[in-house]
Amino acid sequence: MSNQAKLIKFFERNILNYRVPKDINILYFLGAILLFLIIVQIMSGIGLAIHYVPSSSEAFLSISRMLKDYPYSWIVKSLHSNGASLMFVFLYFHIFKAMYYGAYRDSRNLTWYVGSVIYLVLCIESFMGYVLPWGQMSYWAAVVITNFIEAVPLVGKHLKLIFIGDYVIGDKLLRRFFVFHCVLPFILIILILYHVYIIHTTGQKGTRLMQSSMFFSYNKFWPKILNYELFAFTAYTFSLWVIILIFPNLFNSIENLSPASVHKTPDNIKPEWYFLPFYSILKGFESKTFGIISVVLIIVLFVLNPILNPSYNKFDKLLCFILFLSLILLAYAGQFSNKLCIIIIRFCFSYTMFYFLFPLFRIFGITFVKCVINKHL
Amino acid sequence: MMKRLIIDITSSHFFSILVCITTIFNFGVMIWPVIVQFLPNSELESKNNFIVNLSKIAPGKCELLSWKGIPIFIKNRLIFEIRKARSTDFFALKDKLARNSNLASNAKAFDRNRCAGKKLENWLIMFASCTHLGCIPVERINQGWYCYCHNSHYDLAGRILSGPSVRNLIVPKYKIINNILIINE
Repeated sequence: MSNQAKLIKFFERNILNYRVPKDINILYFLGAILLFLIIVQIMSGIGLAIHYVPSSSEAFLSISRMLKDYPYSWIVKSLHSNGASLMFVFLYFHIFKAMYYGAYRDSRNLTWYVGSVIYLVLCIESFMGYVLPWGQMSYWAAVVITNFIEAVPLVGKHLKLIFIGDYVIGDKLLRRFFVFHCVLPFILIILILYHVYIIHTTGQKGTRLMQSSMFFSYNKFWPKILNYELFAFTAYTFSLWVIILIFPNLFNSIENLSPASVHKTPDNIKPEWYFLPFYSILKGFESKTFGIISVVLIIVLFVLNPILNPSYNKFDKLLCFILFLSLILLAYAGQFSNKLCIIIIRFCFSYTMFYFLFPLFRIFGITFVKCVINKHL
Repeated sequence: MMKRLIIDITSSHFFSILVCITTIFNFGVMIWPVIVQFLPNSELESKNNFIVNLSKIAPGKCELLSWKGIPIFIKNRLIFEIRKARSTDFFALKDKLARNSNLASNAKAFDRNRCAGKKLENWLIMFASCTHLGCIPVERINQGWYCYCHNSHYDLAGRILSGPSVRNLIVPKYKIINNILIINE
């Protein structure tokens, strides 16, 4: 077959005649909107990076200068910062959809692993992006997180030096972050394309409990699903524009509007809202090492979710919903630091551990009981 | 009934066209500001005048000043230099146009069209950028300017005598008021 025919067949099979189960809802179109948002981030990032100066004395001023002198630069800046926050909103809903409908089991394990890597890379990318404007919150968030790198047992201090490039957070760290912030999107795009490719080999999983095959009760992508997708697209970008035009400072911290000052720590340091669950877990433990171990543990358990939760029934759906509610509660309680919030944090943290580890205990418990029974027979 | 209504609307032809138009509009509105960022900001440039106090420049001295990266010669010519510039043969000049932004574009390259005007013939203000490829010429005493890059010779009024350049040194738009020079745009 000629190359042209192969290309047309690929296009037909994966885009025009791609089979999508009939029982999907609007949450299933979050993948497309996330891809669109990444492209928006790259474009607006280019628009910002041509004015930005990655020097600790010039960074804040360069952004102010850009906003003052160039028309529509406020749109570009707002798109980039609010786009990042919205991307995390949609990403959390996307993960919720995957966990709620069990779209990580059996043949879809690799999708989940690649997706979790995408999530971690996105976290690093957005953290670096948050540090770049060099406002008060940016600087002190960088200080706090690099101090946590130091808490790694043996190599902590050396790791911190390698990460920062100096003994103090300053110009060198900023330049490094700018370089990696501009380079990581390439890796992200490769990972996302791989993610989409894997999904196209297995097919989407519908909302029903049983695994839906690609060959029963499907719709073809063109034209019905594309129509639905463009509508979902419009609805999601409407939310983006509402935030940019009506609530532009919804995700902003007032502290970040003043340039970074080494002498004054802001009263209420907290990271951006999408890191608040991890931040509150760190707060819940008094010891620094235990906090970090538990955060790392949660991330590892999250990545290994397909192994830990292989079964799927209605009760799992309920547990997943309660998990996300507890994560929201965790994030909300992480902003404050009174005793009640610490109790709530510990409660929510134990529930997340229960959610991931209980099936293991159940399996071990069953095998243990079986061994005991076999021994006595 | 609501579900039936929603299905009817969302599967109609008009709705799908509307959605397509909104997505294209979305793309455009997101990309247009990014494209605008690449354009130079001319608003900022034009309001920026360059003000020099001419009493600081002694007679016979040629100052090389930088106006936002653009080099400018300001020369306070002595009388014999003015006389020498006016005595060059007009028809021996390579470029017969004055290249003075304060005058019409077809003004001839006489010395009176190159200097600052009546009663201000001692002031010669030019862009210090060789018209060949942009190097800064070096002042040669009693002879004008010489560009080392490709051997262009300019006379005491900044006009090209020999060398690869085709045009005289360009004179910017300026005003002299009360011994203060204002160069704008």
